[in-house]
Amino acid sequence: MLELDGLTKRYGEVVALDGCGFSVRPGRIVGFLGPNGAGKTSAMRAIFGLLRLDEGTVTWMGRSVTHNARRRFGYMPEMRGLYPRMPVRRQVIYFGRLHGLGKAAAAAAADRWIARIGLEERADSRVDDLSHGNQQRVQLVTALVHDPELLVLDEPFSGLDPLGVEEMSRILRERAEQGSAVLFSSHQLDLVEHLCDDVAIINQGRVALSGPVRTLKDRATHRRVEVDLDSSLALTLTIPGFRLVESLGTRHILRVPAEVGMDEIMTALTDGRRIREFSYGPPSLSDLFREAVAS
Amino acid sequence: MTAYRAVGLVTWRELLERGLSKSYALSWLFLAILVGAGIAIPGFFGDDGSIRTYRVATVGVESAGSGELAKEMAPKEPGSYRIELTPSSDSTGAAAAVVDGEVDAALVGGNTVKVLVGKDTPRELEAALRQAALSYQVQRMVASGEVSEQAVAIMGGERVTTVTAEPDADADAEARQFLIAQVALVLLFMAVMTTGSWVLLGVTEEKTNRVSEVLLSSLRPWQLLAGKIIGVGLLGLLQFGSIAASLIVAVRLVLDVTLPEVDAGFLVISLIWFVLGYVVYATGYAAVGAIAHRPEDAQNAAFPLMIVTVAGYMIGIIYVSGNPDTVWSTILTLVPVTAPFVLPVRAVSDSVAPWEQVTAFLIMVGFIILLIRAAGRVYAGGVFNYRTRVKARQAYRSAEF
Repeated sequence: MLELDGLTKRYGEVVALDGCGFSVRPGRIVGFLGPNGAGKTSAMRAIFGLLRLDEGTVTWMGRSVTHNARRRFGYMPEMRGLYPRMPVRRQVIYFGRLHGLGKAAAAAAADRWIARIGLEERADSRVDDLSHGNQQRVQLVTALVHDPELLVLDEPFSGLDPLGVEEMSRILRERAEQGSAVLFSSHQLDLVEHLCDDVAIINQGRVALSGPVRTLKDRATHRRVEVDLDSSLALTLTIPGFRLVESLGTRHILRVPAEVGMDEIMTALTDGRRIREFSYGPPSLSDLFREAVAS
Repeated sequence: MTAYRAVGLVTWRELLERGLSKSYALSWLFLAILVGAGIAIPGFFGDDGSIRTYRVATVGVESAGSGELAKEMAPKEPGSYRIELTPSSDSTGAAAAVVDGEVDAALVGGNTVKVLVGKDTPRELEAALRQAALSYQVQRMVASGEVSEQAVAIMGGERVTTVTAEPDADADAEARQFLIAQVALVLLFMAVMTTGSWVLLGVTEEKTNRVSEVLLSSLRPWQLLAGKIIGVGLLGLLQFGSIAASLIVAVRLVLDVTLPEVDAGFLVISLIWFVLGYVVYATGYAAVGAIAHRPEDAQNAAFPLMIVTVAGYMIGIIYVSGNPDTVWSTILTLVPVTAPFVLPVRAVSDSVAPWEQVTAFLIMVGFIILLIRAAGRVYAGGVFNYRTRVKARQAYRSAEF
């Protein structure tokens, strides 16, 4: 298990990390969320020793992360890093070997992964001759080629088309099923909600909320109600503690205390109006994120 | 994976990728053209290859016969130059011809024979003319009976036998070794400037395209630096070595010039200091590459280091070559940034004591170890600063490694 505990990093007056801590268990996918500048990249760099921490520890399986342990990790930084003029296959083999694979094993793994992402025809092409999406795929493969125990990806989905997103999601899910611990950052909250087992939401350098997505949603003190009415008149309700989150024409999103029953809500909504559509459930990850960041 | 294997992998990548790159092939081609032109052009424009022709005006010495005069003026080493005599009407005309550069010198007869030389007259020609003038005058005195042939023979040293206790060959060899040391300095300087810029731009490019962040997630900074420096160094050695070898072969075959033999011990010393010098400067360039924020900024950031390189070279080739035995030369031998440019020059003239060589070597090795560690830290601290050039001290302090 990867554990980050009390990570603190200051750049003069700027506090990048302020006691940040959370964990990533093998076989789980953790979504690392936070507004821009919250400290996600700094925390990820700290895992690889790329940042001189003022305080805090990073451990893997209960021990401080050593240089040798890091070779069993896979890393995809926010700003993609590949040799632009180096052919795809040679590049993947090179990174595989840097992570400890032998020559033959690295070549076999490179061929397997290149085939997996559908770039066999472009295996000898220079990286800068590939499209942005394909470069992104190659970048992912360089992080995966050695079958890492821990996979850390900074914004892996940015710039990918829907098919690319689907493919990358499938690969991450497979890695987790094979026992790897997977941590990735993203601003695509719906995707994170769909893909991740756990989340850690960071704000101003410290973790505001973390845990299994299901548990966090179930434990929330409020519920999300989405309703489409036949009237666009202003919504005036008698539901105790409710808050109108969003209102667009006849469609409304409400935040309602968890203890208020669904019948009570329905009754209040149908007061002189007709309901065309209604949904009631735990808050979305976006709701949790907004609240965590706002608090 | 061992550290050596990690360094080896980085080295191999440098050899493969840079060695097969167009820029490497082009720089090789450029050097080859430069060397080829250096050999071909003198042969194309010269009279007969490397043999120089001196034009000498003569006034009033024709009675000796042009064949005799030319014989007196002939070089000690056959084939190094030849003389072309041009009779002139009077000494004024001959002097004007020398000043105008129409001839290289003039020999003017009279009661005393004069040698007229200009500011560009080669010293070997002046010496040959003086010898010819003396000979001509003595022959004239013998002919007029002013002195006997016997006296001339004694004055000329024909009855005195000289036994050379210390053969002149040693002095000649020393001069040749000195020349080789100068060539070694020039080669080191060119290699440092060329390969240093490869290291500099290579590091800056890795920083700019962000690949260093991925590399440093599995490599230590010093492993990355060492691999790059060794790889680039081997490519530089291959390029400069092959060019030097082809130059030697071309000079021997095309120009038919016999090159001096080089003392093996001196060659070993030069090679060791060549490698040490390259490592010191390349490490410096790598650290500078890490603190620059983009390739265009790298040359500016490297300017102070370039000044140090040029200063080291100038000190070696100008000051130390003329003053190999001074205290300053001894001090400069022990300073790591000047030692590679100083030691080969001093070694040629036997001016460097064994203790100085050993001490300089140990200081250099210690300095390289510290420098690589420090450069590794600067690299680690500077390589993630993408926006502005960071100060070396700031980068050193912020590094994790």
